[in-house]
Amino acid sequence: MTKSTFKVRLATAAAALMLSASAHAGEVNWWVSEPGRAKAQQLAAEFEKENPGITIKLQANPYGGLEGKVMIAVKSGIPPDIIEVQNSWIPSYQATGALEDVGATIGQSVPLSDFVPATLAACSVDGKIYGLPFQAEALAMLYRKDLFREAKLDPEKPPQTWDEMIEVSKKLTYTGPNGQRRYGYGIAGGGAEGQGNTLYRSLPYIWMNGGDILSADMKKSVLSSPEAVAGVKFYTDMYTSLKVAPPSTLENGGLELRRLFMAGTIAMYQGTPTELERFAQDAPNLDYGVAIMPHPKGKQTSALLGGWGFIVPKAGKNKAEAMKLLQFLAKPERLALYTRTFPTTTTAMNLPRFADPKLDAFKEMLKHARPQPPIGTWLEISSAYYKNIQEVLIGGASPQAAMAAADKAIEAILKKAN
Amino acid sequence: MSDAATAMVQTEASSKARRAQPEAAAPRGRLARYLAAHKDGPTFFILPAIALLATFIIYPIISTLIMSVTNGNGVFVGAQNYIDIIESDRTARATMNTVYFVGASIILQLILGTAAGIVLNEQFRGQAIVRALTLIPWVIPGIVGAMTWAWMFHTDYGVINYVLSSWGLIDEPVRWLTNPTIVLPALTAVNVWKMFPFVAIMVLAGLQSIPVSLYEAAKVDGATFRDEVIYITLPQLRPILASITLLLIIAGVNSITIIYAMTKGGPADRSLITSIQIFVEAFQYFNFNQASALSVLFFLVSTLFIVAHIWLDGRRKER
Amino acid sequence: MKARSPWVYLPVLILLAITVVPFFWMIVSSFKSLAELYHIPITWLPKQATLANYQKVLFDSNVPRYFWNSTIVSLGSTIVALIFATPAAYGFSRFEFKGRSVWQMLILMSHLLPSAALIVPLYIFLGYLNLLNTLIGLILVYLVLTLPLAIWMLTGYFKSIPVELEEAAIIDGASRWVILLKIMLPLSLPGIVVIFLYSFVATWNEFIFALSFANDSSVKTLPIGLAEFSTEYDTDWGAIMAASVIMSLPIAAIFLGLQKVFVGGMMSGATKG
Repeated sequence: MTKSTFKVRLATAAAALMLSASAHAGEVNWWVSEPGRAKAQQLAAEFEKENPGITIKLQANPYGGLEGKVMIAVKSGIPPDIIEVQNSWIPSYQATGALEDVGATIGQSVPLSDFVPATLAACSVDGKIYGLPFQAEALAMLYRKDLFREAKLDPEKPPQTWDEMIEVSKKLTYTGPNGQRRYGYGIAGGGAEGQGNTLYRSLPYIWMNGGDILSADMKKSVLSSPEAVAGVKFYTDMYTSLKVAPPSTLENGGLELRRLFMAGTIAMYQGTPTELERFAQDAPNLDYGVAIMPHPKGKQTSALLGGWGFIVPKAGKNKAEAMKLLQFLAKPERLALYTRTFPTTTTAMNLPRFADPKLDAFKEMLKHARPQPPIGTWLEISSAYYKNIQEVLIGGASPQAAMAAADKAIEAILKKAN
Repeated sequence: MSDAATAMVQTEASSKARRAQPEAAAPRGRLARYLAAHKDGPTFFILPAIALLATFIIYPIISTLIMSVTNGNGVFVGAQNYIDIIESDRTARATMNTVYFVGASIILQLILGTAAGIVLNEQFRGQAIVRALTLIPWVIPGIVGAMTWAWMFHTDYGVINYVLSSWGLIDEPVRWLTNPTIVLPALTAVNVWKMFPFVAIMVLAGLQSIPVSLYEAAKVDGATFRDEVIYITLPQLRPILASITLLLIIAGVNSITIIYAMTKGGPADRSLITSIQIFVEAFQYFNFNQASALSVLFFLVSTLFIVAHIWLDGRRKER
Repeated sequence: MKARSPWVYLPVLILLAITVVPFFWMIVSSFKSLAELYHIPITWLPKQATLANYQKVLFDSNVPRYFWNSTIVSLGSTIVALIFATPAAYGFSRFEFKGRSVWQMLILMSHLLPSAALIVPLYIFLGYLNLLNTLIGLILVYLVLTLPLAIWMLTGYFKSIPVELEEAAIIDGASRWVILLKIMLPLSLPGIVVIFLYSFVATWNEFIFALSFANDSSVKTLPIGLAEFSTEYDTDWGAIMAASVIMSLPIAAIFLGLQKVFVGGMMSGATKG
């Protein structure tokens, strides 16, 4: 019995049993992420009003493990009709040709030239657009001005270069009043979302030093190049040899770092624009600044482009309705409403909502941001990378040796995929 | 999960003893037999349950087997998935970790649990309430225990590091869950803490079935408490310890909650165990076929252990 | 009750410390403010006890929803398991038929399967049936845990009921089903209560199936909600501890309230082996 006839039989059995409500005509299954729930409900109501006869069934997923959930849903043969995903996941979903090309559909709502080019590139594989990007962001350096003052540093002059970063971090590492230990720079090395969090915070150092994980044609790994190793060394040294990162580093991802930052355990860390809202809510008196990421002297800073978009799986049951919803969403004002950081179109970027001067450093970083390589095995590749960063942090290998090991693992992944 | 397995193995044992009971008389005559078999016979009683179990157990097993020898497109690839998974560094590490975690847990659970059971069997004020409180780690959900210990183990703000450093026992905070040499022992400790009360209560039950006359006779001979433990209690407990061990093996191969919730197998796979590896291979790397191959291997190896244990135990009983 | 020697209290105290202290810390932490949790030196009792964490968990999080889901799933799968297990156990305990012991062995084996080995195929299977992310789907897969257990335990209880009690009814011409409902079930009620408790607790605590098959917050169960609490609510340890307390309460209540049934069931089972 071949797999497909088996599948047909099961599907028939399922239909006969009708154990649960399957997709009805005119019903669009829309998956969003948990933080987007309220706004998605608002948009869904608006859409349903404009399009009588179409109902939207909304499901909100938390970030944890979302990538895998979507992958399985897309592979299951009965995916939802439209899904909110991180743009960097799109290539791996498209690796099996599971996604619908949505370039033309989006183009009917908004000229593609209005998009910030990198955001469309992040949703594209082989020149075709498989997602509607609505959110774009890059990390910037957040620092505690009060702790700068306490350490006799000028709070208006955050470190600009790698050397200054090391020097400032050292000065910010000491035992404060009440015996509380303070650390200069909190790097990510683990935590609930360790892999992605660590990638976003360490890969830019490799990039700004001229290194990379994959070669430009994505055919081989270049992680053991001296430039890449130096970037990794700069990042991991903060914890292993300089000890300016807290002992809990291997437990810390973005969320944990924010806690430590608010508690005054760390004076600097890399954060997203969403952190500002959290500070306003949880610690309104926090005295902090936002700076661009320090770079090697004489080189440009860099960032990993983060962003979210909507995809339409090929196997979705209500394609026409899904495309209609996509067109509805692809208006600059709706993209601007839905984004939790920055929007993806130039028109939307000029809205007053994004004019806060605190956001300037984030905007600047966005200009230097590059998307992740559009390769189907990226998740596995970045997992090999992450594992070896951790290997350095736990003292199991030197940056050189660890990156050589990662290099080997990535070559094996690339070979398997071809 | 252990509780479930416990109960089952117990009743299995108890029902064995009663198997010699007379069965209801079967109806005579071909037609009568046919009707009985189809209307009032075992088929209709048993079939629904068997069908359900088959759907949710036998079907998955068969489909795992098929997936383990095919690739993502359903094409037959022979043993390739098995070769790939066996050659992977992660598998070797996860296997070692699983053996360590399950093995060390069982040994410590048996030792601590037996000791606790003996203590609980003594007479003292508040015995009933202490017995109930002792069981709490086993009764509460594993995830609750895991989260509580994770907070106590926190490197910067955990109470354990705080106490140790304020007593001057450590200078640097201990990285309980991120130091590669400490993480697995720390997780094992949590697992032992979770399960030893179960051993204690089973041992307690065993202790209460030891005839009092044995102790009385020993007392007449002037035996000390220590003598009683070594010459009466432990030998008498042996059969029940054997069945407890079986239950602990089953619980061990099924354990995932504590490690998944506390470290997810990190740092750098230092606390990865096979059940987490299957989950990760399947739902993080989407290597469903290799995950299936790993599932089959895991199933075979753990069944082997269980069967070996039952067989050894059976042989000892015969002797 | 008098102790044989005062020395017995030393190991008793150590035992209590090992088992109870973590819960003490869980409860203390649940009443601390965020600032106090992230403060050195650590305070042994909350300086200013706050209910904010409980408020957050009960009113600003999905935990009440998860609580409800867990209740539905645990009750549902336990009841369904009992409904299917009762006739099956009767069949195994009262009929002699070909392959009976083989079937019984298979059922025992099915319970020994490592759950992790089943997640991939069950995931795909539930996907085909369109039952992923549904409470019905979870109830059905939990039968893998509860049904074999219930069949085995019930078979044992039924066997311990003397056949003579049925014979009179058989002579009167009562059908087997009537006998099962009118005679066997009432007689094995204590056993059924124990089975009910076991499978309720087993499913209430279940982790890996729920992790794999229930992703949407509308169907997620408490263990998963708690494990993901840190990503959903910013590693708020106070709230995590409060949620832990809330999650433990029903189990602790069932256990302490029915301690005799629970421990008694376990112990009597243990000594029969």
